[in-house]
Amino acid sequence: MTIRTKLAINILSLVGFSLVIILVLNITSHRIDESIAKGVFADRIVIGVSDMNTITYDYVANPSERARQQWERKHASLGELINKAEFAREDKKAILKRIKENHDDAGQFFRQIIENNRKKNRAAAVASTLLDESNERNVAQLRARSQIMISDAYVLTRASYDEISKVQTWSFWLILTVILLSMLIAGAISYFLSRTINITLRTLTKGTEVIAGGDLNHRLPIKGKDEIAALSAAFNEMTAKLARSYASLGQEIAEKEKAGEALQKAHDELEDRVTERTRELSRSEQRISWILSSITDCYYALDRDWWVTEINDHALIYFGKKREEFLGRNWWDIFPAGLGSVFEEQYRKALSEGTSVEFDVHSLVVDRWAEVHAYPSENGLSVYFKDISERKKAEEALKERTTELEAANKELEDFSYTVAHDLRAPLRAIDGFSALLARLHEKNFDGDAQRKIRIVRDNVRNMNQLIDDLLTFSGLGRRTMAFSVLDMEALLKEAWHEQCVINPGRQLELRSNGLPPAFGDRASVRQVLVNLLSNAVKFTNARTTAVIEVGGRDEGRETRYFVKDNGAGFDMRHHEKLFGVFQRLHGTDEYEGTGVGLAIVQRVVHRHGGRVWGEGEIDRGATFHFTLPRKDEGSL
Amino acid sequence: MLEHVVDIILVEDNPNDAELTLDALQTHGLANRVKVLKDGQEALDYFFGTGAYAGLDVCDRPKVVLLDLKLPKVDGLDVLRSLRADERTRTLPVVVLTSSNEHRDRIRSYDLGVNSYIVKPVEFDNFSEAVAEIGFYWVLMNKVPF
Repeated sequence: MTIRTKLAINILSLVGFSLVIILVLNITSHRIDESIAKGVFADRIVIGVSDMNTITYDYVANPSERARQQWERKHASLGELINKAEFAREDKKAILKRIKENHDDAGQFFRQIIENNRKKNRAAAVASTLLDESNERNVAQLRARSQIMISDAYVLTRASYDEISKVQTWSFWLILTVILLSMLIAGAISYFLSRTINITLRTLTKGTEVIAGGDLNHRLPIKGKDEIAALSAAFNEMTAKLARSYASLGQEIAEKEKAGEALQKAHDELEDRVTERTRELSRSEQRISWILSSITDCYYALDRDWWVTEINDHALIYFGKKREEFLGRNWWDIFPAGLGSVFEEQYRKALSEGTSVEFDVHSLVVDRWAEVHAYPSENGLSVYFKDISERKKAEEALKERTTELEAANKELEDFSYTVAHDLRAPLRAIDGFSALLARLHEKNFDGDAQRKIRIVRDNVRNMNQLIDDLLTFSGLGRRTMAFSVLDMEALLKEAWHEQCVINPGRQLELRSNGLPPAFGDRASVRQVLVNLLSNAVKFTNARTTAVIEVGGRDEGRETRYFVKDNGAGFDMRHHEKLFGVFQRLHGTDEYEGTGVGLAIVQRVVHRHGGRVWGEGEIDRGATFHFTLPRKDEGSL
Repeated sequence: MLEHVVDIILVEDNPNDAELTLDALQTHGLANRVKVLKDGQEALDYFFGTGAYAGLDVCDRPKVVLLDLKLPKVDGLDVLRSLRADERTRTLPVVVLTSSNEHRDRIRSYDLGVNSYIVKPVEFDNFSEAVAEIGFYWVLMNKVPF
């Protein structure tokens, strides 16, 4: 039986008992009503009888029609009342019957009274006394009957009160019994129900606690077939399901944990990489800032609206300002003087044409010279500049020096010119008139005089040579050089041919396996070859056959040439004197010459950015080397 | 009129050089019709019939002018420029005879239209020979356009 049924029964029994109580109360009330009605009936009879007695007396005292009629009406209503009454119990019925009989008797007596009265009216006195006597009896009888009726009515009233009291007692006990009974039954049912529910709930609670404690394999005992059983079954099922889902959840959690671990690992790796990247970035930023600060150029960057986005330390030092005075500010706000100047013009040009610009400018702001390079980009302008004030100063000084040198050169030139003209003219006169003197006075001059005149003329020739060489040497500095690639073999051939022509009586042999081309001024380099060959020829005059070897090869950035002879050679101790102007290692009686040839060679080679040196040994010949920078390596 | 006919005009301020030149010409039989002018101004006056030479027939032209460059008053190159600028003397054969072997002098001389450029040798023998050859060539061998 389910709890619901039990509860329903409980309620139904309570309802039933209530109905019983209501029924009992209803019956009781009905019976009390009846009893009350009977009581009332008895009272009315008492009242009616009393009234009738009173009327009887009235009539007896004063027999009138009206009193008679009043009495009749009273008697009739009373009879009606009696006839209508019903009693269940036999004793009551007997009392009622006796009341009825007395009522009828009372009527009989009254009617005799009436008859007597009528007769009295018509009869004589004697007869009236008899009649009065008869009426007195009749009245007595009537009164007796009335008394009986009243007492009977009282009996009935008493009986009805007793009845009420009896019914009340009965109904009290009955209701009490019913209430007690219903309380008993309901209490019993409730007790058992609550007991069952309590026990099962306790079991359930315990089970829940066990399961909540983690033992998902715990099952609740199932007893009977009520809701608790169903609940336990459902609970068990739920626990089973829970166990199953818990198992799968555990699996899932395990998987999730695994995935989580993988995720964490990936996350850690990512973080490591981010850290690494950040470090790299910061390193590269540091590098950039280091580069920016380490480049000796000053640097700043402007965006397309002229706002300063970057500036390095050199620039800050140059301007003598702090970084905060630049960053995030408009360039022309910082240097309003720049507007309309070469700066704005050049920067705008760079930005609009997308080409880099460079210019030297004297900044009035800092009173310094700067060489500015500005490179446009999508974002704006990168400006590198360096302080070239020192350089400008040096340039100015150089310019001044150059001007001075040019002036000195001009003076030298004028001097050379003067020498050329004015120094030669007297020489020519000396020689010419010496010659004329010797010729015109040939007969007067003896051999010794002729010899002395010859000495004068030889010295004139020497001096003339010195002047020539000096002019050549000094003239070298003035001539501008025209650089080109030179066919050295052709030059050698030309110079060698010249030597052969100048020295017709000599046996000269040239050995050469070819020469690499040179890069230089044709006339100057030719002069070098001529001078070296001329020297070689000169210092081999003691040899039957002069063997002169000329060679050359490319060596890195320069080409080295040499001229080697089998002549007199020289003492290496004096090699530093070889290239001095008017320096000679041999006596003028041995070898003619002014000592300018090698000086010219050295001067030419140096002007080309090359080197020259000599190697030799007395009587073992000499070798002269010179180098010329190759094309694109020239220092001039 | 014969003494007025001049074959060689020597413009030379240095009397020594002039004497040596004349000696060289004389030695080779060329000194008969030589006129020596002492400076650039005199040369211009002579050629254009001005100054001391006013009234001289400018059409009487020599076969060659030996012109020194370094001259008082008017420089040899200026004389040359004037000669070349004037229609009457434009084709006159002019030989520069100078001590200067300067490159720029040579260039300027040729630019101005000199016919020859000779550097005076210092040694007398060479000098004499050079002058004689100049004389022979310009007086005897060369044909003038006029």
